Order: sequence, then C-alpha cells, then structure tokens
Amino acid sequence: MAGNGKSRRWVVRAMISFVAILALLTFFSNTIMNMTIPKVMGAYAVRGNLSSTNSATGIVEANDKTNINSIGGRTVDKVEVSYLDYVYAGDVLYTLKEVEDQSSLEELQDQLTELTRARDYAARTPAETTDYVTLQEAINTAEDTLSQARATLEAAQDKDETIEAANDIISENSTLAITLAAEVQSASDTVESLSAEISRLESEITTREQEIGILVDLGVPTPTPTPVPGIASASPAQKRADGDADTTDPTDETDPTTTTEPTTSPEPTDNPSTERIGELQEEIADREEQIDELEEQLEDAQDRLNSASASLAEVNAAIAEAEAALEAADALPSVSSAQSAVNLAQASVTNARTTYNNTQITDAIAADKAADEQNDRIEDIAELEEKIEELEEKMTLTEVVAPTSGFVYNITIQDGDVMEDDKTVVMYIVPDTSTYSVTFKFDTMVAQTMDIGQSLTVDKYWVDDCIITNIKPDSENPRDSREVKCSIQAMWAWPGESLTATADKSNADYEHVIASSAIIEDNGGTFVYVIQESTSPLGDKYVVKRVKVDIEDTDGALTAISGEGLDGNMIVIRSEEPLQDGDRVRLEDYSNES
Amino acid sequence: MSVKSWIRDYFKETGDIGKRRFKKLVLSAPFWVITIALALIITGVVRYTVLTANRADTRMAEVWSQGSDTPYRHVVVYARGARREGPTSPLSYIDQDVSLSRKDILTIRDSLQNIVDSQDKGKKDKGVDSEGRPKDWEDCFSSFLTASVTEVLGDDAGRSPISTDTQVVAIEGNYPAFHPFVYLSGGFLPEVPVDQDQIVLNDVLAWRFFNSYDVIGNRVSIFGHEFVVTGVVKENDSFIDKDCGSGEPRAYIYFTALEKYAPLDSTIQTDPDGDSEQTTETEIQFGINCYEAMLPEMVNNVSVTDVKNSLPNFNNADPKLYVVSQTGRLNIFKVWDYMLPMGESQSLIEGYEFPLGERAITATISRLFIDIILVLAGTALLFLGIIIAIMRGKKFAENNIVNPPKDDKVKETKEEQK
Repeated sequence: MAGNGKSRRWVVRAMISFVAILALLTFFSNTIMNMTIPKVMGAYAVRGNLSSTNSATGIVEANDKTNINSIGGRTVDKVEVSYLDYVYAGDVLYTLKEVEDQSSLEELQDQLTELTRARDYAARTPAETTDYVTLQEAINTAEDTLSQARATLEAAQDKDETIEAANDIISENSTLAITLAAEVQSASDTVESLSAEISRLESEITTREQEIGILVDLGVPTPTPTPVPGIASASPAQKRADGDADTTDPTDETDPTTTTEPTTSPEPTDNPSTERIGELQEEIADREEQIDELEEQLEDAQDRLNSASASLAEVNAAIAEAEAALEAADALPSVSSAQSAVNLAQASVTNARTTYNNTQITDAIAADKAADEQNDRIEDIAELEEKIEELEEKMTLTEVVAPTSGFVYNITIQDGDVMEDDKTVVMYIVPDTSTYSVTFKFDTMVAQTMDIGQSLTVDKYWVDDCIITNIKPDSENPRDSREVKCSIQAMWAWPGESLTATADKSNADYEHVIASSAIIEDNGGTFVYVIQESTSPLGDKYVVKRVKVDIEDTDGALTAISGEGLDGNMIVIRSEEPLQDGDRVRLEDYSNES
Repeated sequence: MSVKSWIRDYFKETGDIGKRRFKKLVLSAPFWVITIALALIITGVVRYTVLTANRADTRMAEVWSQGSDTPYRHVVVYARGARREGPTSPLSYIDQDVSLSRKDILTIRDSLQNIVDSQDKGKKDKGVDSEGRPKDWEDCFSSFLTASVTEVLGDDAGRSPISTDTQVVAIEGNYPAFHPFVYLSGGFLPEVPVDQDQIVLNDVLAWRFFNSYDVIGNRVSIFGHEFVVTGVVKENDSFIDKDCGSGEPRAYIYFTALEKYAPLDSTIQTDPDGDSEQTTETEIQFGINCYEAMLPEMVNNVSVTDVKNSLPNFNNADPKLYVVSQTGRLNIFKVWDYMLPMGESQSLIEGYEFPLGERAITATISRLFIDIILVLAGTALLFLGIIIAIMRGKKFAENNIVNPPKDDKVKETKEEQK
C-alpha cells in the first residue's frame, strides 16, 4: 500500500510540473518565438529626388613665386627667416657653414684626371685591323666544297640512270665485241694463211730462180725472153725488194741477163736446159701472178683486219668506259648522304660568310664604340669641369640671399641641416603682388557642367570667390578626369592651404526612393523585401516577401527604384541577418540608437 | 580507554567512512560519467551551433543563390604585399607570385568568365561586360591600411575637429554581396560609383565623430581629401569579432580613391647589368589584399580549382597565394582538416595580413575545433559510462545485488552482529 501511495504522489507531482511548464511556455511563447526571428526595420518608399554631390580638393598655389633651392653638400649654419617673413631682395635667407670636407671636390677632380688620361690613351692607341683574306679564303674553300657536294649529289641522283645506261652499253657492245673479235680472228687467219701462201710461192720462185741461175751459170743459153707478163725485168725477189712501184717502171731494170728488147720475136731453141729455163721462168711468172692475186687478197684481208680491230678497240673502249662508269656509280654515296653533304657544305659557306660579315660588323661597332666612348669622355670631361667649377663656387658660398622681395613660405630647413642635393626647394618667396590659384580634379561628367568664368562653392570662408579660369583633361587620366583651374580672390590667401570645391548635380524626381540598404542583389537580380502584416489572435505577424525591383538611380545613400507592390508597403531597410523570401521577422524600431 | 587506542579507533572509523564513501562513489560512477559526457556533448553542440550561426559571412553563397537551382560558392584569395612604412602605408605589389594587382584581377576575371560561360553552352552574350565587370557571377576585391580620419567641421563648429586612426578598407566590386552588414543608415558604396569620394563608416567611427548614426552627407577627411558619408554599417559584433577588432573604427572607400589619394612612391632600381649610373624608375602598383568571387558551381568544390587555375603563376604544389572557400568552411570536416595536423595551416597563412572577417573566421574555427573535441570526448565518456553501467549491472547480478535482502532482514543481521 505504501508503494502505491508513493507512485501516486510522483504522478501528481509530474502532472503539476508538466502543466506548470506548459503554462510558462504558453505565457512566454511570443517572447521565445521572437527571440528566434530576426529583427528588421522598415520604411516606405517615398517620392523624392536624388542629388549627388561631387567635391574636389586642391591646394592653393601662388602664380608668381621664386623657389629657393638647396645647395647640395652644404650644411645650414643658421636660417635667418621664418614662415611668412617679408624679405627684401638681397636679404640673407640662411647662412652656410664652412666646408670642411673637400672629398666631393677631390673625388670629382680624380674622376676628371682619370677621364683625361683615358681620353689621351685612347687617342694614342693604334686601331686594330682584321685580316679578311683568311676569312675570304675560308669562304672560297667552303664554296668549292659545296660545288663538289652538289656535283656528287647530282651524280647520286642520276646514279640509277647512269648504271642503266652503262649496262645498256655493256650489253650492246658485248655481242658486237664477240662478233668483231671473231671477225678479227677470221681476218687474222686469212692474212696469216695468205702470207704463208705468198711465202710458199716466193719460196718456189726463189727455188726456180736459183735453178735458173744454176742453169745460166752452167752456160745454158737463156731462151728468148718470152713476153711473159711479170718476168720481163729482174727477178721477182728483187722486184719485191725494190717495191711494187718499181715493177711498173721497166726502165729501172738492172739485170743484165734480162732481155731488154721485148719487141724481138722469140728465137726457137732446142736446148732442153734452155727449155727448162723457159719452163722455170713460166712457172716463176705464174707464181708471181699468184702472188699478186694473193697480195691483193692479203691487202683486203689486212684492211678487214684493221677495220675489225679498230671497231673492236672502240667497242672494248666503250665497254671499259661503261664499266668504269658502273664502278664510279657504285662508289657514289646515297642521295640523302649527298644531300647532307650539300647541306653541310651550304652551312659551312653560310657560316663562313656570316663570320666574314659579323667580323666586319663587329669591327665597325668596335670602331663606333671607341669613337662614342671617346666622345663621351670628352663630354664627361666638359661636364666634370663644369661641375668642379660649380662646386668650387658653392664651397666658397657663405650665405644665400633673397633674389626678390616677398613673403617667405614653406621653409623646410633648419639650423644644422645637411642639404643633400641641389633640387630640393627649401623655401619660396611670394611677392605681395602675386595672384593665387587652385587646381581641382573633377570627373569628366561633372566638369561638363562647368564653364570658364563660373564660380565654384568652396569650404573656406576667407575665399571671396573661386572663378574657373581653365578646364583641361587631367594628364594622369585624360579620359575620365578634368583639371579645373580656378583663380582665388581673397583678402589673404596662403599658399599650401587646401580648398574643397563642390559641384552639385541634381537628378529628376523619382516615384520610389528608399535607403540603399534596402536594395539586395543575388543571382536573380536586384530586389527588396516588402513587409507583409497579418493579424492573428496571438498578435501581429510580419513576413517578408521578395519583390523584384529595377534601380533607376542612386546617390549611394538613397536609391530610386521601380517595381510592383511598392506602394503602401514597408520595405526592409535594415536586418540583423540575411533574409529569405517568406521569413518571419520582427519589426523593430531602431530610432533610439541614433 | 587510552589515548592511543582512542586515536587508533578514530582513524579506523574515519578510514571505514572514507572507504564506504569511496565505494559509494565508485558504485555511482556510471551516473557521473554519463552526466559529464552529456554535459560535454551539449556544450560542444550548443557552442558549435551558436558560433556557426554568428558567421553569416560564410553563408553568403546560400544567400546569393536563394531561389535558384544553381548553387554558388564563395571563394576568397588572399595575397601578400609590402608596406613601406608599416600599417599606414598602402599595400604595394611585390610580384606575380605572391601579390595581386588590378591587372591581375582583370586577368582572373577574364579567365573565370570564360569558365562560367563554358558551363552554359547556349549562352550567347559571353565575356565580361563592357566595363570589365563579371556577368552571371560576382566578385570584389579589397585592401586596407591604417589612416588618420578627421571629421570636417563647419566654420561655426567652435571646436577642433577630431582625428582618429582608423582602418580604411578600399574596395571595388560588389562588396556587400560577400560581407553581410547591418545598415544603420544609408547604404554601401554602389558597385558602379556615382561619386568616387563617398565613404561608409562603421558604427564605432560614426558615433565617435558625430554621436549619431544618421550622418549621411557629413564629411570626413582622409589623406588630406574630403569624403562624403553615404552610409553607416554595423559589423558583426560577436565576442570573437570583438576580440578580432570589430569594435575598432573602420571606414570603407573605393579602391580608386585609395589609388588617387594615397599614391605609392616610385622606386629607383639599379640597372641589372650592374652599371650604377643607369637606373630606371619603376612605378609601384597597389597590392590587393583580398579577392573574392561568387561562382556558380555545377560540380562540388570545382570553383576553388577554377579560381586557382585562373590565378597567374599559381603553383598548387607550392601555393604562394592563400585560396580558401568560405562556403561550407565551418562544417566539421573542414574544421578538422584545417586544424590537423597542428600547425600545418598556420604555416600556410604566415606572412598574410588578414582582414577582420578572415581573422574572426580563423578564430571561430579554433573554437569550433575545441567544440568538436568536447563532443568527441563527451561521446567517448558516454560510451565509457554505458560500458561501466553494463559491467556494474552484471557484477550486481552475480553478487545478488539486484535483488538484495529486505531492509528488515539486513537490520536484524546488523543487530545480531552488534
């Protein structure tokens, strides 16, 4: 029972706690919910106009001023004037300490000495000449090599044709050579056989003549010479020894044994020896006749032999020439190798020519350079001499005086300052008759609304008027910017003071103008969030709705927009966090913060 | 009873009490372990949620792509530069490896525009617009320096103007698309300038000068030039942002105004041939500290690669520009990847001057990492507690502790023992 009582009490407590929590949550539900939704501030888009104000700042400058430059290397001893002092021409502006350190002057003098020496040495140095003969020879050699390589290339390109032609010659002449060789052999054999036959016949004649001689020696009367053709004169052997021509001249007969009167009729004889001699003489005559025929044949055969031999020699020579051509063709390189050799040779020629030209150019440059260096040295020497003169003059200077009368401005030196160069303006003097001006830089669009003679509004009370005297493109940005020069009219104007001029430009009225912070942009374009209000038993409820708008104009702070649903609706101009379409928001008044 | 025995009994009883309490504590260990574990987990999760919610600047891609099927990614490139005289000098360009200049931005824009155009085959109007601005995506760039800002008073003010050292952020492009502001008055500098001399103040600076946020049209002077106030913004003011300097005065001007009014000096370089007499005067370019792009992303995380590929001279193996995706930067895996191995990311960002937002995000990541550790530790403890509870349950069952004898019987036993 005790256990059941404990459980009951626990359940009652739990239910009471649950109801209490529910009541608490219900009571604070709006507050809790409000904590989770972003606070926004809304405003209505109102009719209005946008004005963009363009301003520019410039520095007042004196139109007539005299700059006092620093003196490089000198130390200021004492500045005798102060800002806005009025000085007269000749008044001392500042004094200088004596120069203790002469090193800069000595350095310049050393430089001058070096330059002078260099100039003299250069003038005495003989000009260097280049031997161009060697370079020209190199070009010639390279060109010869190129010609040979080109010939080889041509031959290599014709190699196949050459081999084919040579083979044709060999094949054509080989058969001819064989035929001619056979012909030569045949003719040679004929000549040999004819010669042998002639020899045999001559031998027979000799035998018979010897026999006749013996018979004659034995006293056998020789028969009356029978007009046997060919035997009317000396013996045939002698005739052949004297030549064939002699045989045609019967007056040259020397043999006393021969009958010199062929017109006498033969005397009949009965001596057998005499008959024998007659027979022998007939046989000799017969043989000589044969020999004459054979010699004619021999002459023909010899002619044929000579002709065939000559032809054979020609054919053999052609074959030998063709074989030599073949051998030469075999020895030729390939076309690509020959082409490479040509390229190489061509490159060598080009290199040689380039070397030649470069050498000429280099020599010319070296000559020009030497001349320029010499001229530079001469100029430097003149410059150094001038510097040394100026420096010597500066070193002797003890004070700087005012070149004109006027007010002193912009003093940038003080006692003890070391001046490093001669270009720094250490102060300037403005005569009291000087006028003043200021130059502003305005955007081109703004400057288009300005005219020469127009007054600009400036921010300084002491300026009576600021009148535009000149408008020209800005040298740094000629397209987008204009330099507007104004004349300052003031009782007192101080150079160096800044002036800001404003140029107002108003736009037309717009239907809906809202703070620029209301305009939101995303990948869908520009839009605003319109606050839509609804009332429920739990209170007012605000939801934002995305409304696409077009931007008509803006001046940065305010933006003119157009779009649907802008009239009569509040637009979110400030939100604690980025919103999304349909987000519930809390409308908050931030006015107490400003 | 002697003193000695009294002391002995005292310590014996004290020891027994201690033992019993310790035993009780040990027996109740699972409860405490689980309680601590849940506390750690809840702390970690709540902190993570709050810290992440405070960083709206990492969710600008979602805002930009709302109502669209195309997801966008917000990618940032941080570059280095040199300052001649410390923070008061504008950031100047060093070289193409480590710095970005206006020329580089044009190159990057062209490259990214080509990439964006290539994603839409049917697109006809390709390329950047006539004024060199991107189409169908957004970008902006900025640089900052410390400058003395002076209020401009009227002639009848009767007091001296106030000057204060302020961080001046020079911007160009659609800067508000990447940086959520709460506008207290006016608006931000329009993407297409209507007046180059406009300036936006943060609430701190506006209040310091004017004791009001409704200061549109007032003037302040920087670099000796007057600017017209066109808006007052309130930056993120979480405690991390405050630690990182959101409570400091800050002003936003156009980058062109910085170029115009805070010119960099030219430098004289010796001729590289070593001839000391021949020197060339080189104009120093303005360096860009931060370039941001909002790119449509058809393939997850490809925009980061696209941006890297568009950077001149970017070497992925040896990055000299810091490229980071703001979108999704605070998810658990990115935070874990950024923090581990310890020191790796730190070495990557050495030498960079980060703007306020990046410093705040980096600090947030460090805290988020602690939250992750808390949750992990809590989860481990939770498992440990559960295991201990299970084991203790088994032990109790073995020792019949689950169904212990009735209290009356125990009392009787104790009395008998006494």
